[in-house]
Amino acid sequence: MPRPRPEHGDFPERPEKPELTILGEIDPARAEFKLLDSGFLSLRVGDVFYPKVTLTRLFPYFHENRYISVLVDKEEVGILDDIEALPEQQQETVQSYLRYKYYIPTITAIREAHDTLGYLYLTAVTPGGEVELCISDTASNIRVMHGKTVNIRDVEGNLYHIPDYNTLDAASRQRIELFL
Amino acid sequence: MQYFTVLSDPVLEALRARGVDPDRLRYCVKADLDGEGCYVDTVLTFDEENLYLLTGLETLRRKRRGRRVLRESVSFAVSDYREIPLASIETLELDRQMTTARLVLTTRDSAACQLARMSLGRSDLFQKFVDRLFQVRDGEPIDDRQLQGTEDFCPKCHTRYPNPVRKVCPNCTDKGSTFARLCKMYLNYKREAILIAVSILLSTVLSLILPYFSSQLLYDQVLTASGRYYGQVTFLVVTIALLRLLSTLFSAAHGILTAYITPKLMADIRCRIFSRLQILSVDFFTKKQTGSLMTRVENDTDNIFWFFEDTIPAALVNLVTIFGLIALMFWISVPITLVVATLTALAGYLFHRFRKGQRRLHHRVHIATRSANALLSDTLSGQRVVKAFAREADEIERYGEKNDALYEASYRQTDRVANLLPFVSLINNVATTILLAMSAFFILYGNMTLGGMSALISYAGMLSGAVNFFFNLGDRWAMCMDAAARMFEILDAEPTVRETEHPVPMPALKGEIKLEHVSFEYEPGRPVIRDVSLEIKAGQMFGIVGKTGAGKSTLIHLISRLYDPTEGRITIDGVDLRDLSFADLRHNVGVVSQETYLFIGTIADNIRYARPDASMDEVIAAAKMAHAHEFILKQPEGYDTMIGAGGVLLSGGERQRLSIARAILQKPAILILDEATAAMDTRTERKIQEAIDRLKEGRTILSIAHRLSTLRDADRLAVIEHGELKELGTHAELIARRGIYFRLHKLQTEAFQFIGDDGGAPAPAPRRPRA
Repeated sequence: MPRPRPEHGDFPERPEKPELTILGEIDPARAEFKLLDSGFLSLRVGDVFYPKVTLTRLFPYFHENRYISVLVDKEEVGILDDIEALPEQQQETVQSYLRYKYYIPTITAIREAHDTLGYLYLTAVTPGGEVELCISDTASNIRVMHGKTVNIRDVEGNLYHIPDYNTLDAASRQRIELFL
Repeated sequence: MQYFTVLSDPVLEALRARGVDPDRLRYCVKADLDGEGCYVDTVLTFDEENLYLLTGLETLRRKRRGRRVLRESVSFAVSDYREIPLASIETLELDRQMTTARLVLTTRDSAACQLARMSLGRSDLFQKFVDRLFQVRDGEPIDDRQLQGTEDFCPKCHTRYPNPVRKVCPNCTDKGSTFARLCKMYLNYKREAILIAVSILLSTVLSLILPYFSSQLLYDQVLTASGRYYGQVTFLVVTIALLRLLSTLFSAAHGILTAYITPKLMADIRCRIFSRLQILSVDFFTKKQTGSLMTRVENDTDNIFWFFEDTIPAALVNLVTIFGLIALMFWISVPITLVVATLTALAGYLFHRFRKGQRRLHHRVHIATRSANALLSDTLSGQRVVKAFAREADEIERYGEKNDALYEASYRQTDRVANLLPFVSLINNVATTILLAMSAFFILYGNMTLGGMSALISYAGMLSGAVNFFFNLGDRWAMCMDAAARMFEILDAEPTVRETEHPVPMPALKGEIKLEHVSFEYEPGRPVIRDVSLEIKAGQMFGIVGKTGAGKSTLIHLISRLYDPTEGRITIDGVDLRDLSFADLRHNVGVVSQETYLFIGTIADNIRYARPDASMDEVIAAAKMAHAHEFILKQPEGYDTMIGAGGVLLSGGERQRLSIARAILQKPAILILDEATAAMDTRTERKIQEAIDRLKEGRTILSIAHRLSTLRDADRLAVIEHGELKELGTHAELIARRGIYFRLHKLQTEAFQFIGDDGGAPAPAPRRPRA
C-alpha cells in the first residue's frame, strides 16, 4: 500500500505520543503576549519577561496558526505549537500581530495582462485596491505551490498571492494561465 | 530636490497650501499602504526644520499615446497632514516584515509609533531617506554620488524601470523598434542584404507568371485554333523551362546568400553577448540564473537565426506573392478575385483563431510534460534515497498522477484538432467550389476563357498559402522579438560596479585597508552588512569570524570589489576602491575561496590563469609551494592533464591546492582566504595550511575560517554577527572579553574534544599496535 505523499502542508494529525518532540515548546497556558503601541510584541512566560519578541510562522502558507517560532533578537526562544491553544484574548493579540506581519496582497481578479519585451504587466485587483505589477522572468517569479496557490513577485521585490487560482473568474484565469 | 520620488503638481500644491516651501525640500519618498493594507499615498519629505507627512489618494489619469500609456496625476485628495520637527526625533527605524515595511518613529515627547507603511520593495529608498534626514539634521555631509544615474522612473511615462540599471521602459519601447534595431545589425551586411532582396523579388515574380504560361497561354493561345501561338508547343515548353530555371537560380541565390550571412550574423551576436557578459558585474549573474543565461545565449540566438534564415525571406516572398497574385487575378477577372480574396481572408482568420485556441492547449500539454519530466528526473537522480526509504510504490503512484494529467492535456489537444480542423478546412473547400462555379458561369457567358479559369484556380491556391502565412506569423514574430528583447537586455546591461574613467594609478599596493561606515544589501530592503567600520594595517593577518550567514563572505566581496557598498566607503592605502583601476585592484588582491572553479584546460593552464605569462618553472614552483605538485605527479599526463568538464576529476583538496598555486603565482599584496580549508579532512587541511603559511609573508591577509584555531595567530580578529561588527581585538583580548568570540571558541573547543580532534594542533604519532 503506498503511503501518503509528503506534499506541502499535508501532515497527519500529531500523535498523542510523538516519536520526536520539538524542543523549547512554549506552554500556551503560561504565555502572555502583549501588543505594544509601536506594533511590537512583549511576552511573559512565567517569571521570564521578553520586552520585544517577534513571531515567525514556520508554515506560513499551509498552517498559519500552527508552529509559531518566538524570537528575541533573531534567536529562537521557543515554539508555540498552536495559536488556538492560547486563551481567546491572547489568540486575538497574536493573530493581529501575525496578520499585520504576514500581510500579502491577495489578488482576487486580473483585469489585464500583457507581455512586452520579456516583462509581464498585470493589472490586478486586491482587497486593498487595484495595483499594476511588472514581472520579469515569469518562470522564476510566478510560482504555483500545491497545484493551486500562486505566488507572484514583481520587479520591485513585492510579493502577491492568489490562494487558489481555480477560484478566479474565467477571464482572470485565462490571463494568468499562460504564465503558470 | 532630485531624490527619491518626483512630486507631482497636485502634491506640491497641497504642500504649498499648508505653508511648505517646495524649493526648500531636500528628499522625498512615497509610502503606498495604510495599516489595513489598503493602497494609499503617503508623501514623506523634509526640509532643514521639519519632516512633513501628507497622506491621501492621488488620482492618476491614464492617457494612451500610440502604444504608450502615460500616467498623469490629476488630483491629490488629502486625508491627513503632519509636521514633525526634526529636532524632536529620537529614532526613526525601518521595521521590515514579510512583504511590507514600516517606519517607526520615537520622539522626545512620545513613545514609538508607526509613521508610514510601504511595500517591501520601497524600503531601500526609505532607508536612504532616513539616513539623509539625520545627516541633514545633524549637519553632516551627504554623499549622493552613488545615487547618480539611479533614477527608477521613465521620464516619459513615469513607469518604474523594470531594471533600474538598464534604462529601458517596456511601456515606451515597442516590438517594432526592437525589430528595427535587429535589422540594423543586418545592415552590417548591406550588399548581401540587397542581393537577397533582389533575388527574392525576381524569383517570386517569375514563379508568379509561370502559372500564366502553363495554363492561360497554353489553353487559350497554344492549344486553341484561333490562338496567337497555335501549335507552338515547343516554344512554350522551352519558355516555361527557362522561366523555371531562372526562378530556381534566383531562389537558390537568395538561399545561398542567406545561409552565408545569417550564421555570420548569429556568430557576431553570440560574440557580442559573450563579450558583454564578461564586463558585467557579479550581481548580474547572481540575479539571473546561469541556466537562464545559457538559454539566452543558445535558444534566443537560435530563434533569431531561424527568423532571419526562414521567416524574413518567407515574409518577403509571401508579400510579393500577395500583391502580384491580386494584380494578376484582377487582370483575369475582377469580381471572382474579390470573392476569392474575401473568402481566403476569412478562412485565414478562422484558421488563425483556431491556432490561437490550440496554443493555450499546447501550453497546458507543455506544463504537464514539464511536470512529469521534472518528477522523472528528480526520482531517477534520487534513486538511492528512494530505495533506502522503500518509497518505490509511492513514486510510481506520483508519476502515475503526473502521467494522467499529461494524458488528459494531450487528449484535449488532439481531440480539438480532430473536431475543429475539418470545419476550418471546409471554408477553403467552399472557396474553391465557389471559384469553380463562378468561373464556369463566366466561361458559359463568354466572359472568361478556360485558360483563365485554370490560371485563377492555381492563383487561388497560392493566395491561400500566402495569406495564411501572415495570419500565423504572429507567434514566430513574438517569439523572435522576445528573444531579441532578452538579447538586448544583456547587450544594454550596464555593470553596477564600474571602473572610474580616471583611475588613480597604483600598480603596487602596501595593503592597508579601511572600511568606513560600510553597509550593503543584495536585495533592496534586506541589509546584509550594517555600518561596519574597521582598519587593517599593511602586512597584518586579519581574521573574520562569525556564524554562517553573518555576512563574512559579503565583506570579502566588498573588499575585492565584486560589489560596491550601498553606503560608506572602502579604501586601500587611503584611496577609495572606486578610484582604483580594475587591473591594479585585481593584480593586488588575490582570493582563495572554498569554491574553486577550474576551467576546461590543462592543470598548467589552470595554475597560470592568474598570470598567463608565468614560465613553466614558476608554475612548477608554485605547485610545489602549494603542495599540489605531489598529486600532479601521480597523473599520467602530469601538468598536461586535462581537467574541468569532461576531464580528470580532482578531489576538493586537490582543487583547493591548485587554487593556492594560482594565488602564489599572482603574488598579491592582499590575500583573501575565504574558508580556504573548510570541508577538508584534517591531513589535507594541514597541508593546505602549510601552503597558506608560506603565502602570508609580506602581505596583508584577510582570512575567514570556521575553525577558530586556524586564526589564533591573527594580529586582529573581527566578530561579525547579523552583518554588524560586534567585537574587535586579538585572540587573547576577545577571550578575556568573554563575549561572542569567547562563546564560539568554547563551543568549538568542546566539540573538538568530543569528536577527538584538537582543532588544528599537530596530530600525535600513531601508536604501534601491540604484538
